[in-house]
Amino acid sequence: MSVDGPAGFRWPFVFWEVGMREETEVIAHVEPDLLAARDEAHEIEPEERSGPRLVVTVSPDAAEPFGEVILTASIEADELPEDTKGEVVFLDDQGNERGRAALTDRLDPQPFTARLECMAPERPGKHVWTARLESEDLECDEVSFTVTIAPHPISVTIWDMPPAIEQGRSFPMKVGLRCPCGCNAQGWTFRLLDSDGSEILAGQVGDEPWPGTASLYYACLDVAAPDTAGSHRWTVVAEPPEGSDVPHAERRLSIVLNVMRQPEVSLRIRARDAKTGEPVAGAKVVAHPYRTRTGEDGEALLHLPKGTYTVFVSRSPYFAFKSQGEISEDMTLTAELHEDRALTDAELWA
Amino acid sequence: MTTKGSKGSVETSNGLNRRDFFKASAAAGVSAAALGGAAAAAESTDEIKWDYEYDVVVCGGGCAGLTAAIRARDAGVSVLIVDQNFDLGGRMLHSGSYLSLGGGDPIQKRDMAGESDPEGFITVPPVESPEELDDNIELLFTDVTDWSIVDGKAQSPYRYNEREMMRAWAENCPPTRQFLMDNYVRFTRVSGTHGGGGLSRARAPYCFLMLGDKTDIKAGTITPEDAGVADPERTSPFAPVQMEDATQFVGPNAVRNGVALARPLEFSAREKGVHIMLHRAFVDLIREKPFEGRVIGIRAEYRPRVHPKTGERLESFWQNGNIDERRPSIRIRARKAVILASGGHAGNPQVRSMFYPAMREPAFPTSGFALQGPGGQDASALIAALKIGANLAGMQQNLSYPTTYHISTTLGTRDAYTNMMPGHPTFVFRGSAGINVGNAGFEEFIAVNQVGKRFFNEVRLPKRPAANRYPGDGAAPGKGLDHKPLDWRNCSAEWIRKSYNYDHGLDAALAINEGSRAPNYYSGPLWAIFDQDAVERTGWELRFPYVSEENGYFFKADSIEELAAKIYAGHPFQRVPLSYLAQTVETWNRYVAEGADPEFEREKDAPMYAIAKPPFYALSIMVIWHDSYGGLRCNGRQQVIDMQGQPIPGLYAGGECVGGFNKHGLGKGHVQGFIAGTYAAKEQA
Repeated sequence: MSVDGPAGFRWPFVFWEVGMREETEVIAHVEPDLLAARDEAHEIEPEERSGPRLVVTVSPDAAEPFGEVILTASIEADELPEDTKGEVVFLDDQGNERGRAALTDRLDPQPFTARLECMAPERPGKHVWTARLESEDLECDEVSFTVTIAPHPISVTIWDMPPAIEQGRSFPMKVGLRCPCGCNAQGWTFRLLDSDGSEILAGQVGDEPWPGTASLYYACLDVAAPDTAGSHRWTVVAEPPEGSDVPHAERRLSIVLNVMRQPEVSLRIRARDAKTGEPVAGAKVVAHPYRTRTGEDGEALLHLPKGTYTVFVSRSPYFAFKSQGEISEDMTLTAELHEDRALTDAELWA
Repeated sequence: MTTKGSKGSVETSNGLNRRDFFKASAAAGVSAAALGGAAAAAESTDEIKWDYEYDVVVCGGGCAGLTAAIRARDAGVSVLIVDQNFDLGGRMLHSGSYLSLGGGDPIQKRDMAGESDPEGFITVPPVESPEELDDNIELLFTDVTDWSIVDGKAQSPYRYNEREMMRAWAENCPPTRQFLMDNYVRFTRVSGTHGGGGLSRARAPYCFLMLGDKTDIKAGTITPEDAGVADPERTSPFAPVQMEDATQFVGPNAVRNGVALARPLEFSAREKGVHIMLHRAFVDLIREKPFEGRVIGIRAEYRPRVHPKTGERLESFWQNGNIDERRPSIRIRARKAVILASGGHAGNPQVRSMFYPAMREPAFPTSGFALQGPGGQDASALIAALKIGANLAGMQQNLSYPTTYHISTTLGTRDAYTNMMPGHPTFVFRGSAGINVGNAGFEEFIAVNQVGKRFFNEVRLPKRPAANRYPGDGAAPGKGLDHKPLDWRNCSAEWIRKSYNYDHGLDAALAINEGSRAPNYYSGPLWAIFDQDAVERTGWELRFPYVSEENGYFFKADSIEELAAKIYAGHPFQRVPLSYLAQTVETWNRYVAEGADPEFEREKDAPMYAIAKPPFYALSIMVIWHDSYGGLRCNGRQQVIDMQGQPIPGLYAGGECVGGFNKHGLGKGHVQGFIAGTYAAKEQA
C-alpha cells in the first residue's frame, strides 16, 4: 500500500509512518502539502539565496519511453532586469543537447519561462538531466532535474478470432506480443482470463515473427467457447518478462466474444449493381456478428440462428446497402447496390 | 518620365453620383493628383530605377493571367507575365478543364444545332438536349445573382455576388468562349454546369485533345506518354495529372483535363510574343503615392524552384519568350496597367485563417501544392493590393461553396487533391501519389486526430453537399428545366430542412483536442488506422508510387503502439504523441464485437471492421483548402476598387484573387482575365 505524497512521488506507507510516528495524532488531519512544506523547510540551506535560480519542472511524472516530455524552466529571482532575454539549454544524462527554448518576455502570462517539448528517452527509470541558462543579461547556476521514464509497455494483439463463435465448440485465436521499444519478445508469456477473472489458460509466444511483421511473436490457440450464448468479455494479460534487464509493465487487453447458438437457418445474399443488374463479386456481407463475402457470382451464404438482424452489403464504389428484419426461415435477400456518385469528376476538378 | 493620367484617363465606370458630394471630392482628389500633381508624380517615378518596362504586366500565368495576357497582346501592346512557379499554367494546368460559361456561348449553340467541331474530332452526339442548352445573357445574369438559391449547407452562393461584375461576366461569357477557341482550345460536348455557374441551363464542356503520334497543339494531338495514359503509374512533364478518357463527350481516342486548356493557351501566348519571367514572385505594387495615384509597376523577387536533392533549377516545358532574369529583386514598369492574376489565399495559412481560424494549421495544404510550390495561392495579390488601399468583396463566400476546404478521399500524401505520379518534375515535392479510397473506403478504417482519438462517424467524414449547378442535384426544388429562378420556395424553411445535407465532420476534425496547445491550438494531423485484414478486403496497393515509406504520410508497424510511435517520430506536423491510440483501437474492437458504436453511431451507416490483424497501417487524411472566395473588389471592367469606391488607376485583377463571385473554377478566371486584358490594353500609357 502506498500513499500519494507531494510532487507525485509515491511514498511508501511504512516510511511515512516511521517518520511521523511521534506526531501521528497531530498530523492525521493536516494537508499533505503543508507537511511537504515543513519537510522542505528542513532542507533549505541556512545561507540566503538572493541570486537568480533556474527551476525546472517535468511533465508528465512518468513519461512513456519515446513519448513526450515537457520541460519547463523558469527563472526565480528577487529582481530581474525588465528585458531579460536568454535561452535555456537542456542536456540529457549523456551531456547531449536535447533542445533549447527561448525565455518568454515579462508580459507573457508565464514570464521568463522556457518550455521545451521533446521526445522521452527509452530507458525506464530516473534520468538526471541538466538545464543551463544562456543569457547576456544575467547569470545563474546550472540545475539538475530528474526525468522519470515509465517501464516499457507491452503490445498485445489478438487476431483471427471468429466474429461469431458457436457455443460449446472450440475456436481459434492468435495472440501476439511485442515491446514497441524493440526488446525481443520471443517466448514471453501471457494468460487468458474469462469474464469472472478466472484463468482459462496460460501460454507463451513462439520464436518466429508473424509473416509481414518484423518481430511480432505469436501463439496459435484453440480455446473452448463458453457454454452460454451472448457477449463475453475476456482479458488477455501480458506479463512482464522475468529476467529482462529492462522493466516492462503488465498489459491487460480486453476482448469481446460473440457466442451464438447453433445455426438454424440460412441466408442467401445476391449482390447486384442497381443500374446494370450485374452481380457484384467480393462484396462484404455483414449480418452482425456473422460475416462473409460474395463470390464471383455475386452470391454468399450465411448460416445463423433465427433472430433479428441488420444486414449490410457493401463494396467500393457503392453506397452500403442496409436491410433490417426478422430471419426465421431460410431466405434470399437481393442487395441492389447504388454507385456512390455523391461526388462527380466535375466536383473534384476545377 | 511621362506625366500620369493628365488627360483625366482615370476611368470611373459609374461616373459620379451627383448626390454624393463626399465621394465626388474624393474622386476629384484623385484626379487632381493625376492632373495637377504631375510634379509630385514625376518625382516618385523619377526616383525609381526600372529594370524592365512593358505596356501591361500580368502577375500570374494561370487561368486568368494567360487569358488576360493573350487578350492584351491581341490589341498590339507589349505584355510580360511574371509567375512564381517554374512553368506556366497555374492551377489551371492540373484542373479537370470543366469550363462553365453560358449565356448562349458558341459551344452551347454548336451543340444545340447538333453540329460537330470544325476539325471533325467530335463524333458523339450532343449530351444535352437543345432545351437544356438554350441560354441567353439575361438568364445567365439572373442565375448568378439569384437571391433565392440555397445550398445543402443552407448557404447562399449567388446572393452575395458583386452585381456589376456579374453583369460584365455574363455579357463576356460568349466572347470569351470564342476567344479560347481562337487560341487552340478545343471543347467537348456540353455536359451539365459547374458549381456556382447557375441552375437553369447546361453550360460546361471539358477541353480535349486527340491521342496521336505527336504532341502538336495546332493539330490538336497529344502522345499517350505526354497525356499520361500510356502507363497508369507515370505522369509526364507535359501533363502533371494524367488525362482522362473523353470518349463520352468527344469520341474514342480523346482525352481531357486542364492540360488540354493550359498548354494550348500557353502555346498561343508564346507564339504571339508574350514575354514570360518564371521563378519570379510578384511582391509589391508600386503606386505613385501610398493610397493615391496610379499603379505604375511592380516589384518582384527571384525565388527559384530547385530540386531538393540536386539543387538544379526546374525548367519550364517550353522556353520561347522566357526571360531568364536572376537578380534578387527587380522593378518592372507597367506603362498602361498591372493585372493581378496570382491566385487566391488557399495556400497561406496566416491569411486564410481570417475565414476559419482552425485552418491556420499549416499541416493542411492547398491543392496542387507540389506543382505550384510554397508560393502557390499565397495571397500575394490580396496582400499587395491591400497595402495600397484596395477594397474587399465576398468575404463570407468561402463558407458557401462545398469544396472550399474539404477532407480528401486520397490518403497517404500531403498533395491529396491530385494524383500526380512520378514523371513530372515536381513529384519529388510530394513523394507519393496517394491512394484514392473513395467515399466507400471510409468504412474500412477508423479516423483519429493528433492524440489518437476518434472524432466522428468515419463514413460521414468525406461527404460534401452537392454544389449549386445545373441540373440541380437537390440544390433547388425544381430540377433541370423545372427549376424556377428567383423563387421564394427555393429557400423556404421547409425546403432547407428537407435539403440540408451536411454533417460537419470536417469541423469535428478541426476542433480543439487534447493535443492543441497555446497559443495556436492547432488541431493537428488526421490518420486513417487499419490492419492487414482491411488491405485484403479492399485490395489497396500500399506500395510506391501510391505511398512512400519515407515521406511521413504512410506508416506500417507490428503493433498499434509501435504505429503511434512511428507517426510521432516520422510525420513533420505531428507535434504531440498519439497517446490514446492503443486505447482507441481496443475500444473500437469492442464496439465492433458488440455491433454498436455509442460514440458516433457508426454502425448505422455501414458495417464496422475490427482492427486486429497485424501488421497495422496508418495513412494520412488531408484537409485541402482548394477554392478562394473573398478577395479584391472589382468593378465591371475588373478594375480594383479602393475603400472610397473608386477604381485604383492602372490596376486590374482577375481569377481567384478577386472576391464577390462564388463560382468555382475556370469560368470565373477566363472571363475576368478576358475583360481585364481588354481594358488594360486600352489604358493610356
